Amino acid sequence: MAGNTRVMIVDDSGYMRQVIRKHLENKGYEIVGEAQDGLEAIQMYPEVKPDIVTMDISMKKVGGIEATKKIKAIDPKARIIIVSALGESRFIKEAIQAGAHDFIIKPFAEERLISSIANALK
Amino acid sequence: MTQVQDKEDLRVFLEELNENLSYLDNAIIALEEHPDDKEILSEIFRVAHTVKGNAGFLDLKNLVDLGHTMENVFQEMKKGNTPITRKVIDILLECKDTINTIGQALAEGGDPGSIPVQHLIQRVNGILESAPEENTTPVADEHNNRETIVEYRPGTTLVRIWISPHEPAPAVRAFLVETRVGQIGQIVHSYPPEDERELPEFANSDREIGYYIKTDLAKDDIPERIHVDLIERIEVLDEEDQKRLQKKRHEADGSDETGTGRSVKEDTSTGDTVRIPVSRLDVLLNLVGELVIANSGLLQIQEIIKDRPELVELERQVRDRVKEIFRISADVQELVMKSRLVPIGQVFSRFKRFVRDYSGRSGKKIQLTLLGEETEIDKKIIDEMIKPLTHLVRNALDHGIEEAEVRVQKGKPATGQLKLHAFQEGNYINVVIEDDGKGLDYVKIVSKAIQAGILTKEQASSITEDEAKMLIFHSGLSTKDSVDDLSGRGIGMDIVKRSVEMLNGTLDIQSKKDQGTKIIIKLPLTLAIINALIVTVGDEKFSIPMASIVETQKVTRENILMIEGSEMVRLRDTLIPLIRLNRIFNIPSSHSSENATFPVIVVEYNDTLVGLLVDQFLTRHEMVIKSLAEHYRTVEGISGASILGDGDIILILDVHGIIQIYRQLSSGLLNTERNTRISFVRHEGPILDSIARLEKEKKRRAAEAPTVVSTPAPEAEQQDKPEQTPMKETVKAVEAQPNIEPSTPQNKQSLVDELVRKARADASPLVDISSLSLQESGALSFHQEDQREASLKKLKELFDPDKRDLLKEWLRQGNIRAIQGIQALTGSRNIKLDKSKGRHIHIDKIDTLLNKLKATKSNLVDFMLPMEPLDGAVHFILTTDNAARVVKLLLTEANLPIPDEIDYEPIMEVTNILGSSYTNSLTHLTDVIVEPGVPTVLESKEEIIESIQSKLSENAFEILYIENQFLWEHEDIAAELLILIPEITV
Repeated sequence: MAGNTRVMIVDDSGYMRQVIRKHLENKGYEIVGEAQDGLEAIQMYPEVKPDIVTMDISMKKVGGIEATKKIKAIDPKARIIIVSALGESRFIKEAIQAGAHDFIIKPFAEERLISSIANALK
Repeated sequence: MTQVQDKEDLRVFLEELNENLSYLDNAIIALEEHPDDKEILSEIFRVAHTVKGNAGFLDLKNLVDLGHTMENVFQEMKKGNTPITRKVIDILLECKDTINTIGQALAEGGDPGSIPVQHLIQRVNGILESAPEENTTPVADEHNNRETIVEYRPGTTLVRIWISPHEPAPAVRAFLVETRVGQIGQIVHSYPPEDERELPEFANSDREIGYYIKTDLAKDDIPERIHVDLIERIEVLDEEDQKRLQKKRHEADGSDETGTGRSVKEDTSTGDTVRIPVSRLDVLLNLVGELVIANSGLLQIQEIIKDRPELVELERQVRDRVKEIFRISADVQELVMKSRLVPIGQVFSRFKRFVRDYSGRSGKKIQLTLLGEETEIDKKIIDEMIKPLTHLVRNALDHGIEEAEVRVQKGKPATGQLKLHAFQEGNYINVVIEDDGKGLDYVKIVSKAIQAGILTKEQASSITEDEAKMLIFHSGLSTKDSVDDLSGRGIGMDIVKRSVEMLNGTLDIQSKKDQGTKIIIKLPLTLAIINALIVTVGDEKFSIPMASIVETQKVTRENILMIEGSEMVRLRDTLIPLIRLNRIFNIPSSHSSENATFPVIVVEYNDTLVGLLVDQFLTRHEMVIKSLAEHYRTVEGISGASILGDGDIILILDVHGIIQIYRQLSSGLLNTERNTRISFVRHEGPILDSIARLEKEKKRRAAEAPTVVSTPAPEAEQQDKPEQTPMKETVKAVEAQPNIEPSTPQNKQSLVDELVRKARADASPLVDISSLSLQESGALSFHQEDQREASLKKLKELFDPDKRDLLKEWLRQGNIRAIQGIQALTGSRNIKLDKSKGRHIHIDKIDTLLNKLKATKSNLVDFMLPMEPLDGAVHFILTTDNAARVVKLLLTEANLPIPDEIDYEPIMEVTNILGSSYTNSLTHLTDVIVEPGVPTVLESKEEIIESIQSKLSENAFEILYIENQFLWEHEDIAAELLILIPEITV
């Protein structure tokens, strides 16, 4: 399944993007796009039409909650997984209300990321 | 660094770390210069957060901890809990340096984990801990080993979910689960309570959450529908399962308790204190208020039976009971009030650290003295006062107290004194902020005011110190840009003052050059009750908070003097300005030239005494202030409303506002502001008008009001009311059957009666207001033909079959406003809008309506209100008999004599309100100003018919026809309200 799953990574940290990319590529997922802020993500989403979006919360310009809302508005079936740190509970909840499918607390193990995506694709 | 996958990862990590570090370096320093810059704070927080997040992946615990600690500091700074002092900045810079060191070790292949951070973290935590704490601390509930007791809840399915122990944020996971559960059914009950899921106890428990839901899904289908990751187990118990488990448990422990989803142990382990949200106390207090009001009803009964000799014994018993209930209510009230009080030291203590840090940072020597920390004050007031007090303290530090050298030069001790003092005085708490600094610089204030265009040079040349002092409260002066060196970093003294006034408090400044500044804030002990003097002005009753009153005097005529065009009153050796309240509110005064003495209330306003001339002092009264509707705030001179024991609503005067109106009136300078006020009233339309009238009406009706009104905030209350009134708006093309027979006996007494009563009483203000607004809004009215045409074009939409929603919405809003307006006006809910239909009918069908009118046997009277710029009109039609009855009802209730010859004037008022409800709604919806024209009374069927026919233009084929009926409950009175708008043909 992983083989044809297309993922878009949204994170303002290049390092984080790289970590996530590596984890996913290890498992055979295809990274179809990387955005470093919400605005880019919103613009990129309709172009790449990913199966899964991993979404950071605090980013410059447009943050993850806003981006989640916008993407959900573009595509109500969008599957968005929030990747965030402990202590951002309030924001994660907001993102869940905005339609996020799951959340992952940083730092996370590879298995957590994979399991979350697998679950979201069910 | 066990998880670093390879060199490339490390390289990216370090690159980003360096970027972030250099940002942190600059931002921390920038923060010192601009501590209020929220943008820097947000960004710096984000960067610290990223550092921490990334470090987690390298398993760099010390870096994670440090990043986390910094994040906390920035968070607290954002919240304003941690002052940004030099010391804090220093520590933050050290943190940054340490991160740098760790990064270097990493880059050079050293052991980054060995770099110590704990001492730094401890120091940072020291800062956080010494910062003022939030004044609520969560209660630590000790129930780790919760054992859920499944209860039987008929009709529900219980979904038990265990969150994985691997979830670092179980509360958030629970939240996610809840959204999913909510999608498959209606959640009837859940456990544990939401706030408990946030506690470590929940994280350390088996992390079970349960939802009793109502769902159509089969038991077995539920688990797969909740496909949330990191869930250990899901168990679904249907009704039968629940019952079975409960039975089993009862058999086991022999008890018959009906569990609540929580263990018995928990339920019995509560201590002897509970925490109650203030909001609940508010409700309780309101209920006590209701109780007092309800009891007043009994009092009225007692009054009625007082004079009946045969009921002497009964009267005595009633009187005793009434007294008893009043006494108990008073006790409950006091108790509730007391439970809201907290010591002001909670706030004062914040300033210890604040001042010390400030002192260290600025080099100024400051000694802070706190007095009266134990003084208790309403929790809500304390919360509201934190910001203003912080502002004032900061002002005193920044601009009051001088540098040590300067002080010494002035011959003052090098150490400046800042004193915060609280003490109770009757039902008030005084909070004094006093410094021995340089005092207000009047010259500078005035020159700033001239610069800002607040004062002309001429005005400035004759300004007194007191007046200059007032300028610092001017919003145009105390904003950041214009007055940095007067009141600090954009700290608006106007905002401080407003905050205090919102709390029904007063603020006063005393300042002497080089001796210091003293700010005295007087706050009510509680928000819920004020002590006030009730006075009359003309027919109106007002209450004036005792806090504002210095003394009351009966002044003889000789002591009222006219000086330079202003009335002054002689008070012992001084002359003070005299403000006639009736002029402020445009009310006729009952004073006659024969009066020997005049009641004057002396109030103090920023050190100046001012006399308020009223007609009569009535009584002192303790008033429960109910939550005020927003609109009150916008009426100048009125700060709120309260309700008296007899259900009478009374307006509370805002002394400062009154003085401001007076100044504006007497200077002529600020006439525009008066206009604004008036036009505000106009735009708010019937609601605000009605409030004003409501108050007046209430007052007039006083004792004999047949319905005790128990809601002092009329429009707030009525927001939801229209839902309950039987109104139907349909835009169906039902056949035109205008029910024009107003004499149809309806078992209800409608609006009109009540309305008219009220309206009669204060007929003039409404007329004044509307006519004023018409005159003054010349620019907005429709004199210009092209404008008129444009407006009509827009209104044409009403006839557009594709825009039915507009019509519907107009009727909906118009009906709501009409009902609200009239109910507010009359204070009665016995008025119903019975039906409401809007439709287009073809112009030829108008004959149906006209024929119906012609066929009516009764004599009709129509109160016709044209709608400008339309050719339409609102017609309020009653039989002449009913109209006369309505007038009588209104007059009777307003306590006015009934003249031999019936004058329909009161009904005109009703019409005004009804008409403007619809015109305002239309304006609101279309942005086209639709206004009621001058009302006309059409006193015969013929006149009515002629009026309607005259409106029909040749080109109009359709007519918009809306038909409502208003009913007075308990009276057999109905009135028709028709709105007719001929097709717009521009």
